[in-house]
Amino acid sequence: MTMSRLRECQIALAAAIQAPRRPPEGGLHGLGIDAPDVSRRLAIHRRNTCGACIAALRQTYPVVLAVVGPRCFDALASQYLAAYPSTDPDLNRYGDRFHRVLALAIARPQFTGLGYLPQLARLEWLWQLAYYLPDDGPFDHAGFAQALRGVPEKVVLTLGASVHLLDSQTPVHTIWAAHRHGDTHRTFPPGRERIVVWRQHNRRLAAVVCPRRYGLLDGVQRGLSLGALAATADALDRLPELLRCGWIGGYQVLS
Amino acid sequence: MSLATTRAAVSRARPGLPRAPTGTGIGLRSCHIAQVLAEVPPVPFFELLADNHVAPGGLVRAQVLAVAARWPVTLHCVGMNVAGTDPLDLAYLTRMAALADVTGAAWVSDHLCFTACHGRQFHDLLPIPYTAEALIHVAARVQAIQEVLGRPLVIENVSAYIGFDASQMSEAQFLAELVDRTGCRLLLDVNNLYVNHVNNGELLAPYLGALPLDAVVQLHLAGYEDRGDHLIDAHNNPVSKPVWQLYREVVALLPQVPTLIEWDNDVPAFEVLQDQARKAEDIRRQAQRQHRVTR
Repeated sequence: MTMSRLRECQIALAAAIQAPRRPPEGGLHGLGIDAPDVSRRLAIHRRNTCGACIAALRQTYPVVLAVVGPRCFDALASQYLAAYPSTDPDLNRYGDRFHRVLALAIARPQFTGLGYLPQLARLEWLWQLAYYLPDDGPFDHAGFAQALRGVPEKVVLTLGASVHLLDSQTPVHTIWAAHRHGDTHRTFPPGRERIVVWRQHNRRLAAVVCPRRYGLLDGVQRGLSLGALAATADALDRLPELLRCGWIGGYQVLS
Repeated sequence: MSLATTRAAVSRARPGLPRAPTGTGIGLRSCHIAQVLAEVPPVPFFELLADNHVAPGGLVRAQVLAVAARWPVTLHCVGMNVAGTDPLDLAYLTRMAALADVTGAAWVSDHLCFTACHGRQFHDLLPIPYTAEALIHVAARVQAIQEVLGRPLVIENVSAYIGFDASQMSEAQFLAELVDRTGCRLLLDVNNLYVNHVNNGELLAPYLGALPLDAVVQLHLAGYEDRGDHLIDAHNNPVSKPVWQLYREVVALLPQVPTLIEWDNDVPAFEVLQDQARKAEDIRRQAQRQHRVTR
């Protein structure tokens, strides 16, 4: 067997696991005399592979799961797996585009009234990220105070590593929070929610913020200078609050 | 990033010396970590599923460091793709090396299998043909992995449901050659051995006879799922009676080697795992006493 033959064997096994109806290639066989047939043995690996990814999605999207129910969720998860196979050994990072499958699904009649699902999934993904992203280093308050005495147009803030923003046209934070507290039967009036998700002192947090505060954070995310932010929002007044919340991770002074 | 650059970056910060595990440890699962840190149970060591604990910050990292500060730990991986033919994932290996360094892990283990192909991750342990050419390929990868980790890799035998016509040797013979060529160590999963015995007719005595027992640094015990005409290595049950019996035979050969209880699906209360560990440790100590008597 040459090295390419080893590769061929792996490709054949991988293909057989991915395509249930395709006959096995590459000299696969059951090892034991009384062993079940090859297709049954392949099914074990197929279940393991699909099961691991679907279990990861269930863990990441518990509220979507609660809303649509386990059977529907697993069908959506299978569609996701087919469209976006896992490419990272770390399953905690699998599922970032699940909202796209939901965006297609909500066009179907059985999803009537669930148009918020894609945004709900995006919120749950940001919640997942907030758990695993790096910690921020200590904020350099003295250096920042000195930078503020310079030219504001040259000072650029950065969001904390775990901070993410979500501007949702549906009240997904309210829906998400209600489900997390077991309140699954409420009706939710429509409404836009601007949401911040972050981690502070090892706790994950998500909050709806007012449009001005969101606009400021969005400006920071887009890399606007402090001078530009101050021109459109009361940036300097709100800075202490943003720092206290842990939303600002650092700053840069442009040369 | 080149291998040398990676290695240099990894080797910059090495906090403590690894503490060698002894006795019978438990595979620590996320659902038990808070309880373990609060109650500090008398467990001699923990094995961390490394793939679940590589987050660079936050609660996960804080918990891992707290566990490693109190107990000896080993790291168990499922994503190195040790026998794969895709390029090695240096970013993944670097994360594992950093985790091993920061936890002072006694060793890092993964499986004799491939887990990815054409960039797709299968999150399953897929078998390879045991051929001379595959041996050359896997040995080179093990050496590269060891360079990044800065320590010997510990390789575990897998439960195989599929074989290849091209295989020229048994898994045990393949592992023996791999140890010889790379200096890697072995993790003997007794449950996997039994599953292969039932499913594939793997003969136990020849397997153990072919394995270089002096390279075995850890034993695994887990529960399988009985599907009637075959067994699934599901890690979702207590260790079964025939696996306990096989374990008795294995520890008679390896009385000093630490054992670990694994339970990954339908994970029960931590106390259930402690009961399993106590039973394994009783058997292990009995084997040690017997070993002293017969010496």
